[in-house]
Amino acid sequence: MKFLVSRRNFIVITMMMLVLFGLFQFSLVMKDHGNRYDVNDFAAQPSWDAGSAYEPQVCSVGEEEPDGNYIAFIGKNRGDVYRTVEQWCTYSKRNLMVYASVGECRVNRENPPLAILINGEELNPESDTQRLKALSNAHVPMIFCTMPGVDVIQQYPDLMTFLGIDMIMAESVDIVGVHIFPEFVLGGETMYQVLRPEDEKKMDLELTVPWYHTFNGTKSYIIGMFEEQPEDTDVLPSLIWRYSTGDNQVFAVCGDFIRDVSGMGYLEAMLAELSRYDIYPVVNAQNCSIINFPALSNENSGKLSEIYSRSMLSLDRDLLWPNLISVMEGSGFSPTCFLAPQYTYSKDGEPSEEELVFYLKQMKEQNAEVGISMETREDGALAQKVEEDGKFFAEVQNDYHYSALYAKTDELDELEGLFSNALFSNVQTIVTEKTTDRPLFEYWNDHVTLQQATQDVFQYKFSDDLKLKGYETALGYCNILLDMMDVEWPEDEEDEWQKRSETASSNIMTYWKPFEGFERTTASESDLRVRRFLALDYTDSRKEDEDVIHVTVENFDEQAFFILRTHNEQIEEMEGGTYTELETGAYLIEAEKPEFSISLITPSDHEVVE
Amino acid sequence: MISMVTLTIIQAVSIFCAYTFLTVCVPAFVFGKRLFHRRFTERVLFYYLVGNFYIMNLVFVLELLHISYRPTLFLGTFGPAFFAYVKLNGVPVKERFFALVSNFRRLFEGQMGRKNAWLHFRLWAKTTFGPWLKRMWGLFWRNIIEWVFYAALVAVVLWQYGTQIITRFGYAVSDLPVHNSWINGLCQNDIFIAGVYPFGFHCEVYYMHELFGFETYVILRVFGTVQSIFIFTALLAFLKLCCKTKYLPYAGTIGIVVFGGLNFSTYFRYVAALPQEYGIIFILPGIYFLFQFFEERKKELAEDPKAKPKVSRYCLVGFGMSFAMTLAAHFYDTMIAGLFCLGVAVGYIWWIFRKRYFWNILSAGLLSVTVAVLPMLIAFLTGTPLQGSLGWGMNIIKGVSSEETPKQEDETETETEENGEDDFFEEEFPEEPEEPDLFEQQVNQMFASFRAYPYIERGLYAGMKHSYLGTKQEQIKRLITTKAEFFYDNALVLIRRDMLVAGYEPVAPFMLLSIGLLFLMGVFFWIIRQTFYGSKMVSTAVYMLLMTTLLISGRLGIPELMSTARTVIYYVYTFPVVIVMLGDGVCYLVRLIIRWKRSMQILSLAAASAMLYIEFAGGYLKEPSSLSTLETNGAIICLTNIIDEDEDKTWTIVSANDERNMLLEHGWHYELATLMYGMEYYTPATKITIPTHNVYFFIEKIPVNYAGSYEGSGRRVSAAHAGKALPYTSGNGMYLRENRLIMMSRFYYWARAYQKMYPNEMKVYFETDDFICYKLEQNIYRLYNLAIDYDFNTRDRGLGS
Repeated sequence: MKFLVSRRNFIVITMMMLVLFGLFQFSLVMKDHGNRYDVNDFAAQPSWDAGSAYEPQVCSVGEEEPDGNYIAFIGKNRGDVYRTVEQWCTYSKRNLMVYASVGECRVNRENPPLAILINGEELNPESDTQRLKALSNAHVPMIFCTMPGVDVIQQYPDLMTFLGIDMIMAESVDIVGVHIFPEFVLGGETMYQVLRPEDEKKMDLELTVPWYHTFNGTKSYIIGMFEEQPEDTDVLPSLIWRYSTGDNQVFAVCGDFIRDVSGMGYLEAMLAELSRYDIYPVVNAQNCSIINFPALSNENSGKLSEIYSRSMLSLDRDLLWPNLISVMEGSGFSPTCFLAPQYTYSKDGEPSEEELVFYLKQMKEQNAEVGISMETREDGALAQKVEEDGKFFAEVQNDYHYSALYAKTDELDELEGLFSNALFSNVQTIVTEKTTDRPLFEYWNDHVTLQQATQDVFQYKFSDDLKLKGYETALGYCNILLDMMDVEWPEDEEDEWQKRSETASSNIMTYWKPFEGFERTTASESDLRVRRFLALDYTDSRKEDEDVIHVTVENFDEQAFFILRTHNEQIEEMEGGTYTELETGAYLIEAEKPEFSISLITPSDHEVVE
Repeated sequence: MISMVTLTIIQAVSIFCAYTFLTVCVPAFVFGKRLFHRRFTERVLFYYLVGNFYIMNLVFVLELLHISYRPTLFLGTFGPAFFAYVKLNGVPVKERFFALVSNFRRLFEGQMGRKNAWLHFRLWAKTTFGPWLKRMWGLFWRNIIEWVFYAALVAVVLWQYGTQIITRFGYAVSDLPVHNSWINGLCQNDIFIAGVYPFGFHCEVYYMHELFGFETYVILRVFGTVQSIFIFTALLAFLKLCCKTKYLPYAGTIGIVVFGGLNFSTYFRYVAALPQEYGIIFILPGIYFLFQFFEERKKELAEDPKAKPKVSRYCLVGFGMSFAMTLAAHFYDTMIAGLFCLGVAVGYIWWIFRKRYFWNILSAGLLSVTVAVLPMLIAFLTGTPLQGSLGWGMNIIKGVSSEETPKQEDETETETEENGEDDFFEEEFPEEPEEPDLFEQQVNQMFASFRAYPYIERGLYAGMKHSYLGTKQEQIKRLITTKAEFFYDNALVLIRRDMLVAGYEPVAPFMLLSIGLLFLMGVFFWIIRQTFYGSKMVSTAVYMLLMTTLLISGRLGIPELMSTARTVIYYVYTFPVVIVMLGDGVCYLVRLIIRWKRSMQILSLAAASAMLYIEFAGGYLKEPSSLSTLETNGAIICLTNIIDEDEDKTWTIVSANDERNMLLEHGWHYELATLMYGMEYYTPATKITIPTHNVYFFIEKIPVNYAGSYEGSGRRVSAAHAGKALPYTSGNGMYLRENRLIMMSRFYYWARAYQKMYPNEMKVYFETDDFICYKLEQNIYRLYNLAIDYDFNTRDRGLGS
């Protein structure tokens, strides 16, 4: 028998193939072998706890004005607007002076507030207008966080003039969208308008607004848009504007921008507009929390087989996980996946250790963090879940520190009682859904922080984007929520992954793109930054004719982040830290020392000089 | 970062190099071999004439066809240059091309190594450029003293006329904004945008702007210095070519550039890039080629009495191009060239009316006039009206009486006021002389001038009114004597008054005397049979006599074709020819007498050195020309930066007029007056918006003296002036004198009030002691209303005067 290949050649070819096989496998074997999946690289021992958090000085009438930078607020010390103002002051490290009415307000010319914020709804124009005029003589800028009703404004021409309203064109007018002008809140120029059918679902903005025509000397930051753009864009209704009389400046906010906590960003943007420069601390954390994913046990098999022809584990591993990886890689996020060992505890089915190890390895490779979700499909099963999950993780042979937890806010009280369970021994932060009842982030107890989600990516609307801009401007913080519960337990077509994934990827890729300058973090990384942020206090100074800003940070811990807003000035150099330009006139500052200074280039630095 | 002075120097050097490359180097490349046997100076002169003539006419043709763009200009320049080079030098293009391709193929195919290719290249470079470099080096070393003198000439020209451009960056004369706008018209393929006008200068500037990308306003700022180098180089070249000595021409040229006795009005215009001064360059080269024609033609006819012009035709081409370019640049230059031609007609009277000379000259003259006039004629025939000043020129030619001429002026002025160009015409239109009449009127006029100029001795005219009572012969004799004296005295008066400064009055009689001496010397050389040499002298003397007549034409009662202010510029420019020729004649005579060949050059070197030594050591030097500018330095620096920093067409400058034409290709201009008038008597309904992202406001804290100073010039803007009523005038009257101060004061206080309202949007962009520029950044979707109540505009007052 004659072979086509000689024996010698056959052996050589075989050897070569073996070598090639070995070479290819070697890298994978080494990668797998070197994967320290049982170590959570993001969990670090925090230096700060609740006792170190900065508390602003909140004073009211009869007390002395707070020291240093402070904001005066005229209005009741409750309600949405007050909550926003208070949180803004807390996060921006400013003290707060609260006056119940305009009549109570006194401006100490020796120690004036940075701005006087007025809840316009609570204004009594008859008595307050003259008083406001008198206050404006102190040259302290005023911000009307809300506006009195159109009918009220109409009755008081002095108030109209004070607000910079030349004429009330109509008590209300229908607009088709909202236009945010650049260099106000971070995120750049944006137009919220229904241009494509799919935008209709997103349009949830108030499209009936009062139509004010403003005086000369006003600058509009947000305006309403008409169906047909008029030749003179000046007639378009302003929603946020600044009226300058030459001696003083008045901001007017027409709408609910400040009612939500995201209004902090709008307040900060207004303050930046009123100042030569504005520097304030931020968290610099962009989180993406994937909730209830991955599943570790096979549940809901019937429904999932019907839709995907797959079991839950197979769906997660083969369909959802690759898809999520692609979205995260495209957007640059490092996700925190809050795994669900089980969705139901009353039925049979146990979480798989093999799946857990697989995902721990995968997450490690994808630079993602693993947390535990406290959500179940059954009401009142939290205690059982804690016990069962505790057992499962105790039995699992790895030392991964689950430092992040996801829990619903209404379960937090119950969770507090269960927190002694060994399952929570390493927990440092709890991620919750978005709620108005609590601050955006705070200490839940002495050692654990609470971080709210800021947006639900599957339900993203234009108002969410307005809020996102507010959060990013005020704090450089966001926490995107991808709740996979509905995908794992679909109830209608809308819950199916092919639709959800399209929504998620397009929203994340589009709306978070302007904020790429901020760092993408996991929940634990973000926790560390939140703790540092909550602890720090700072003072800044810049002499009138100098181009250098000096900042001193108290409670400094390795790093601190700030945003610097300038007007046409650029950073020339920085000592004690580094900086990144976020957009025109906005810089992200990373302080590496408790004292740092920033040199700015003045506009007169031209290529050709005298 | 770079200082404006450094930038200006770089710009001036670049423009000089670009201009020299195009007008000298490219023609030299084409015609170099053909003219190899001619004198170096003559060759350079010819190249320069060809270069300018070609560029000018290329632009005319392309503009009339509306296809003038960078590619067409490039092809139109270098395409014909290449073909002409090939044709004139018999270059075997095909063979060379294939050889080149073959070499490259060998190189790329590896048949030829890199070293071998490098050797080939070096050999080629050596054989091509080696002899040329060797010749140039030899030329340099053989004439090292002359090169030193020439370097000195360039240095004094830069000192005298270049200092302005590095100390004051704005336009120095009020004509320039108008010329700038006309050149902008060329950029849009719209020649004769304001009517038919000699556009030669504009074509040159436009060409450099379009081909090399220099900003028009930059060229207009610095080209005055560049063209001054050429103006005095042309004078030097003429003297060198006409004289027998080597060094006296340098002394004459350097001497006149720095001579401290000259009145400011005789030279100040050299600091600016103006068409008239540009045209001056071509007057003397044309005359030289005319001189040369006679010599060459005589040689040709001596060889063959029926010979057709060959070398002499080349001279006529030189003459024709020059004459055409004077006409294409400015009519005044043509008038002066024409007067010199009349002088030549007298100086060469022995030849000019001969058939074989006359018709050649006449046809060359007619052809040159045709070439120069043709573009204007075509434009005129296709419906473009004459530009105002051209209409005036036509009236003079047609002999319209002086009573009618002012009417024309008025019309033009009204027309130009609408275009904001009235200052230009203020300069362009001289005051018209009164119509002369009879002898008695002349006598009366003499008395009038006698009264006006007390330093004419009264005794000279005592009893003149009774002097015409003798016999007819006596009367004629007396009349001639009286007229000659009248001529002489008035010439003296005007030379003293308009050409010389106080303390230098004694120079005046010597100037007139030297003209007479030159004439006599010319006649003497005729007698000793140095006829052509003598003819040059006689021609020059007659020309200067005609210039003197032109100078005092108003007093003689003959039509004053040119204002005295203009005449003196030409008079002074060409006067060194008289002095240098006289000196040259003396040196030549010495050489003839002592019959030592070198004596003439030694004597000329000694005389030139002595002359310059006396002038410099004696301190007879004038200060560098310095004119107040129409824009502040800050405004020009700002404009330069804005063009550099901002994207085109995204910005607007609000200023008092002048920047409009400077920025045309890059941004927009908004008239200050429109802004100020627009918000006068402000109401909340008043609205002024400017739809660009950036708006710059140019405010003169110390307003410039636009087109002349006034009592109280140099004051700063003030609330007191802002409080005055806004000046409501036609034309640009609101920007003149005190009106400008009021406008700028208003502007200043408006800007301050506006900055208070928009502290972060309206910022100081640039500030000096006398200028401030604010920059307003706008959201183009929501423009700011520039109309505000800044207090001064809402005060109750009547309309301004």
